[in-house]
Amino acid sequence: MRKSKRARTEKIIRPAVVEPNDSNQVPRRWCDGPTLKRLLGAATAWLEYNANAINALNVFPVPDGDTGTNMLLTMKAAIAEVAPSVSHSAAEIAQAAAHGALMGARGNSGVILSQILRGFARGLDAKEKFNAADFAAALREASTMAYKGVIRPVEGTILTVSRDTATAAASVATVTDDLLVVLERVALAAKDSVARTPQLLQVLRDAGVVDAGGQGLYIILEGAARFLRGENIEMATAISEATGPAFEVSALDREAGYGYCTEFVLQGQNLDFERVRADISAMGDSAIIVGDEYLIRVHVHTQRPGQVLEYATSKGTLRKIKIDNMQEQHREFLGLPLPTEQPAAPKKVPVTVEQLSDLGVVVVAPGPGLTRVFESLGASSIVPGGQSMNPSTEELLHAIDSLTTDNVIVLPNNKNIILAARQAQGLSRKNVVIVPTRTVPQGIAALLALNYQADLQTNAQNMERAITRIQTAEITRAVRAAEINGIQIAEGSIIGLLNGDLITSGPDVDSVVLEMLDRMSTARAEIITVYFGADVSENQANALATRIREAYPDQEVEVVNGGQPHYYYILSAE
Amino acid sequence: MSHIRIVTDSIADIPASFVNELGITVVPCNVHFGTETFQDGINLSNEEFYARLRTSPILPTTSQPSVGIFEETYRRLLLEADSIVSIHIPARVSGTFNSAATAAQAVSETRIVVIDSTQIAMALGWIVIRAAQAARAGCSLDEVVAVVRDVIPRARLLAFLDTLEYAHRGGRIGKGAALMGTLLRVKPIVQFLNSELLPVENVRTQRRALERLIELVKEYCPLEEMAVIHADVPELAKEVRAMLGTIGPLERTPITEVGPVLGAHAGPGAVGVAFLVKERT
Repeated sequence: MRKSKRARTEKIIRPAVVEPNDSNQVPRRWCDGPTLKRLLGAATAWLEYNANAINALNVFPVPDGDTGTNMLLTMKAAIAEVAPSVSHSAAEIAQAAAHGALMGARGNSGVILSQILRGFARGLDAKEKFNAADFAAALREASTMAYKGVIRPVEGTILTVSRDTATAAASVATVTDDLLVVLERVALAAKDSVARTPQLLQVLRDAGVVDAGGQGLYIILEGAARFLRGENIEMATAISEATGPAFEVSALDREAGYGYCTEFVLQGQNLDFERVRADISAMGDSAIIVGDEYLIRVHVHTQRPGQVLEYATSKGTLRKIKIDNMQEQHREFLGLPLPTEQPAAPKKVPVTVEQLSDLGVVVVAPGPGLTRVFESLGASSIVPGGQSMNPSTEELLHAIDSLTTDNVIVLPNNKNIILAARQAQGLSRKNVVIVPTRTVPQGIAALLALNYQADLQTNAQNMERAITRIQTAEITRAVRAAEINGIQIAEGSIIGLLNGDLITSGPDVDSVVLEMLDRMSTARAEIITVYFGADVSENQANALATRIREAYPDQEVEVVNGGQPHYYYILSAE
Repeated sequence: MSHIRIVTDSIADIPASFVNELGITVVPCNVHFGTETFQDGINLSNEEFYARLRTSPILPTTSQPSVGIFEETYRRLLLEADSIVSIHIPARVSGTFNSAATAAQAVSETRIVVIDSTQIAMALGWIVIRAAQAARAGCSLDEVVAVVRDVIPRARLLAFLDTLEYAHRGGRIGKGAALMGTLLRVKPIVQFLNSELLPVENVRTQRRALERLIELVKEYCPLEEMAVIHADVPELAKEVRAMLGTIGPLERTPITEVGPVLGAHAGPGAVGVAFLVKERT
């Protein structure tokens, strides 16, 4: 027997396999009921060690990975059913396990695993004990049953792994009757099969992971092999070194330390920037991570881009994901041929958000905070601009024509930009509608009204209606003395505009804000939104919000970092 | 005793009165808080669930009924019934359909018809109710299946979520993912259609959400049936029902609370209307 690497932490026991010889060379030719029972227990324990690593193999960028847990709970249901049995018949033990798994199956992978156990039991027929050939036949039946359990079988999943193990078992059973050799070969075949799953299944390739269900089956078989090898795996004991995904060692090219150059923008709320930076830095090297609590830009070189993306998606939404295989780049650079067998991970991960409709929206936004707000609401393209920084027709035209959609709505968000937008509309060959939003809150109201299932004209009409329902106040400073609308304004005084019209002036920002809110019939609104500008600190904005809440206790007050220049505050009441 | 029995899953949220009157069999889905597992509506009431959802640090997850439970249910029903029509939440969003279909294969491929409803909540509920009514009226298996096929494209669900947080964490948001990471608090109006949750539009205030919901439902008039569904906000649901007064017969419009499985994904505060569009003649 091969010396166990785990001897440091685990006692080696003599497994209760028949033919109790003192020598390792004696083949283990038969497995009976009690042995199968213990083998299932060991396989389940090994799965328990590895369940979290399997959970982490998650295709979708959401923290819902639970394949390992589901398979573990399914196996636990199987062995719970087996536990009270004193049967000496391997077939009876297998049937009990199959029944337990069938009732306790959780998740799709658990259901398929239960079918595998069911097929295995059926394949053993009524045998009291089984040999290598019987085992191979049972694995074949297990795989057949697994395929039957799925309406539309997909390759590159646990199904493929089950078939590959059956094939390997049939092959090795013709040359040996040693069950340990057979199981070790089967586990190896499972591992190889798992490593191939990304080649068969696009979603795995895109996510840079191997199939979690397949990995679970591999772990179960590996646990069984370890048991026959004489290792003692106990349930829920301290973990020594858990087996990582097979993919980690087999598919990633570790040569010269190249990995994947992984870049993306992480967007969210209340992001713990320092923490994210520390965590991601620890996952690779050459890390460049910048940002704040809303937006973090990440560049890191890592062997496991999937792990980094997985982590990041647990914190927020990812955009602009770009993953390059540096090994390949390096080879290209050196003029070397690319390896014929491609690594499992993709060169590029597509951005996760699908195109929602054939309609794009170009938005003009002043300031980084407002840009992020518009982005988060689904704007297709943002043109920087606003008061005193009006974008050109060409810039707007470029934004319109760069979109992949033929139907485009433009939200100028400033009365001085509407015209340029109309010009761009005339120059573009696309179907363009300008919704003449004059303020940022109007633009936000319009974008919120975007109906993903309606056409261009309907959306334009909905947006025009939406902007009539919102009141905008803008607070800025008079750059010179003037008299407007009968109001005397001193240079440097604070002025308030209601829906673009100057209606008041005063000595300090906060009192002008409160007066504006009064003039906006705010008492009838549900939400007051305060976008504070580049010249206002967050503390100042929060202090103002406190005063607003005191004046309007029935309204919800939301404070957003708009980052706009010139305007201390932009407010909306709706 | 009807010779065809109708089976569905607890995601249909069919009011008990219909379930009892029409003899519908509801197979419970599983709800997990960490390692604790409950059966929807059996050992976990909606009240208990929402109380835990609001307070538990662990977010619940859900899973489909096992193949074994379906097999048991089918075998038991077939002791007395001739055949079964089993109508479920879409395979695209849940493994329930797969469990049911696998069980049907094992029990009887000829006597059990498993149908993917493409719908959830009471939109699925109305499909199931129509099937049960047809079975009660003495329709044959083929006729009941035909009724279901006819009703499916007319079943609709529109709703607004108070927050996208739960849908996001549950990972079941599909194309609605585009709405995530929103920096402003918004209430998304969504539609469940063809097995998929689709964003419709966004509003910022509850009042506007209610108005738009009603306006959007009105576009489908005339309606055959409607139900107001909600996640732990009965008062808001009553308001919606009152606002629907101009659309259809209110006495036939039940208010149903969505159970734990959908509640875990929609989050508390969601209100919607599930309805059948009237057959165009």
